[in-house]
Amino acid sequence: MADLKHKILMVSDFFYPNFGGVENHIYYLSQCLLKLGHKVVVMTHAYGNRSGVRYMTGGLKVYYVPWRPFLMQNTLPTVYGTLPIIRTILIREKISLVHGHQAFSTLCHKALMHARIMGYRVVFTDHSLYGFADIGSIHMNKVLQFTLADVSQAICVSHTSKENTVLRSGLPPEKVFVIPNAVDTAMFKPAPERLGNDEIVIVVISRLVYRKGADLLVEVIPEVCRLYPNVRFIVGGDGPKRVRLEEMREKHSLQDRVEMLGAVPHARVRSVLISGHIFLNSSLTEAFCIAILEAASCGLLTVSTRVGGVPEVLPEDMSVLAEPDPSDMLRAIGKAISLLPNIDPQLMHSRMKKLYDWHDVAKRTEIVYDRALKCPDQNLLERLSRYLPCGRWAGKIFCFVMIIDFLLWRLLQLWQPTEDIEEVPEFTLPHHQDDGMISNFNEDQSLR
Amino acid sequence: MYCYCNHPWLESAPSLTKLFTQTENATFKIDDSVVKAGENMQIQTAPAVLPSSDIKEIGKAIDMHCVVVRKSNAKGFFLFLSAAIVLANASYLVLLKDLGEIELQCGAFPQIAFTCALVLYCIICDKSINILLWSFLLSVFLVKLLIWKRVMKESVVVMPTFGVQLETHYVSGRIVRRFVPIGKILKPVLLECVTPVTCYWSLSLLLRGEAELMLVFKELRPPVKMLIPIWKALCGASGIKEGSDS
Repeated sequence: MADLKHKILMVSDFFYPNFGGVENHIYYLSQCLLKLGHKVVVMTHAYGNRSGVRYMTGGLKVYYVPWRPFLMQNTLPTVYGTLPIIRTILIREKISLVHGHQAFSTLCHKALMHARIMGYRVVFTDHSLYGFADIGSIHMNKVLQFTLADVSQAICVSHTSKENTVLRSGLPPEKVFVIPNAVDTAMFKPAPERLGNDEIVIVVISRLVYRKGADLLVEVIPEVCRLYPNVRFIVGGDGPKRVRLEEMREKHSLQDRVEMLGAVPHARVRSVLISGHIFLNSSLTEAFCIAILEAASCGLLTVSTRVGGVPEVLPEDMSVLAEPDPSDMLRAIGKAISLLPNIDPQLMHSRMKKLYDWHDVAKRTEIVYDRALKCPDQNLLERLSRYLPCGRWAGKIFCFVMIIDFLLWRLLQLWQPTEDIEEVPEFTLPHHQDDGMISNFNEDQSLR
Repeated sequence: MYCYCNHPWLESAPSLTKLFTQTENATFKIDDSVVKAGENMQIQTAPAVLPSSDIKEIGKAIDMHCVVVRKSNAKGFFLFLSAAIVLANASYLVLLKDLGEIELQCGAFPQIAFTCALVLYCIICDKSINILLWSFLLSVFLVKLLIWKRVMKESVVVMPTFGVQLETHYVSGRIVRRFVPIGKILKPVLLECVTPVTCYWSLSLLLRGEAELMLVFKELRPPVKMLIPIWKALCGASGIKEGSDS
């Protein structure tokens, strides 16, 4: 099983230079898969003037396809528009497996659909939780149901997320795997010297939006400041709720005790984290909180709301959980302050190192890939029968969409036969690899 | 001379693609034979570099690579077909005029607009024969427009220690020549390009003091198999070792 090497195409609208959990996940997973000897290619949409082919560390090839994003970094949902380019990339890179990320990436859904029509095995990773009741979620869930109806295997980042995905998409639970995220522990090291305990610093780093519980912060911070005179807050992040926090600061005249940093670039997150003792996470919903992992890896004690996949992230003695309600959070912060003298950041860091590792994530993902490749090959009719039970009308519409896609694919095969698409030559990186420029050049060399 | 063609029996399909979408898949011939002293090779400039050389040596020194588009009948056929449709539409209108009716005939793709224009003209001037004349002119214009942009061949003439001349020959007989002195070339590079519908390889020149790359083949997108020998020749001419990073 180990010598089976895959050629994987990662597809998502979310990739660098945009920054976030999904982008990080794809990058680290790809890097570790490359180290395991697989071939990985990333496909995303163009960001600004960054379009075309780029190479990243380790020869990770990224296609920035020039389809303009229109909303929240998502490409326009033209259902069939991307078929030719996806087909070209799949053929020229000799891909064996397509891995899509994130439920609200339209590019991912399109790629998975086209790849299925062309008979490729597909794996899907869901990174977030969703509701069931509002209009947006109902629509999203239908789209997800459509994509997942025919997916070979699915991956979720936590057990809560798995439960959520299975409920939303009607996917059989035995097809869904749970592989938690990891953290780059080498990047998030605790401060070399332990901070003094006479002043306690609580760090909050999150986007200041409703979902991240900025309103909870507005109620909790003044109370904590009143009860514990030696506590200071550092708030990093920006968003629509920032105004509310600043209002609160003015109202309770806490300017000297609440520091607002604004948006913190990811490279600076560690330097902010190590200036504090306690990390406070007030999210209202969360599939898997990477911020907690980063804080714990820096040796901070975590206080968090007990929502979504958060309770699965850390062992009990490394975090204090509370209900998403100000009084309970106040209690949790009090408990954390009392626990603080027993916390050793270095010990915490070394424990995190053992618990979370991207290489481990890659190995587990590899197993999912192997399983996906073992799935029996089905013809179009068998596959169409999976869409029909999706709903009385939706099922028929899904079938229709797939049939059109199939016809378009056949037409494209006549138009541009598979043999006409040039395959990209394989190349291996020398050990003194520097960056993209050199790898690009080596590729040219290998063409000879 | 070596020809490149994957599927001779499917030739019409790629040329169709070329005609409509410009997502290149035309079939090419490559001509990398060493050129015997030709009229337009600017050999007059060579003696400055190679003072005592005879014709044969110059021929050896100058390296010419041509990428020739294979002539396909389908393309020409489509051109004249569309022209014929325009004419047919016009004569149909003339006939209609005789019957005293005006009916919009939605023919093939661009003809709708032309038909509308013709109908308008027909109403205003009330002269049937003029329509025929005008549509004839229009179709000539159409054919001319399409032929004007059609490329017959593109060639790279490498003159060692002197420079590189890039030529684009159009079917219309128009020739666009660009000359790049050897000192200006920083490095020839083979790049992968991505468009919203396809990927292709392109050979470009990195020029000193210019922000943008210069495309060696401005109009055509030959396959990478053809580009490699040209890339190597360019590397050799610009004195850059292929395996080293300048």
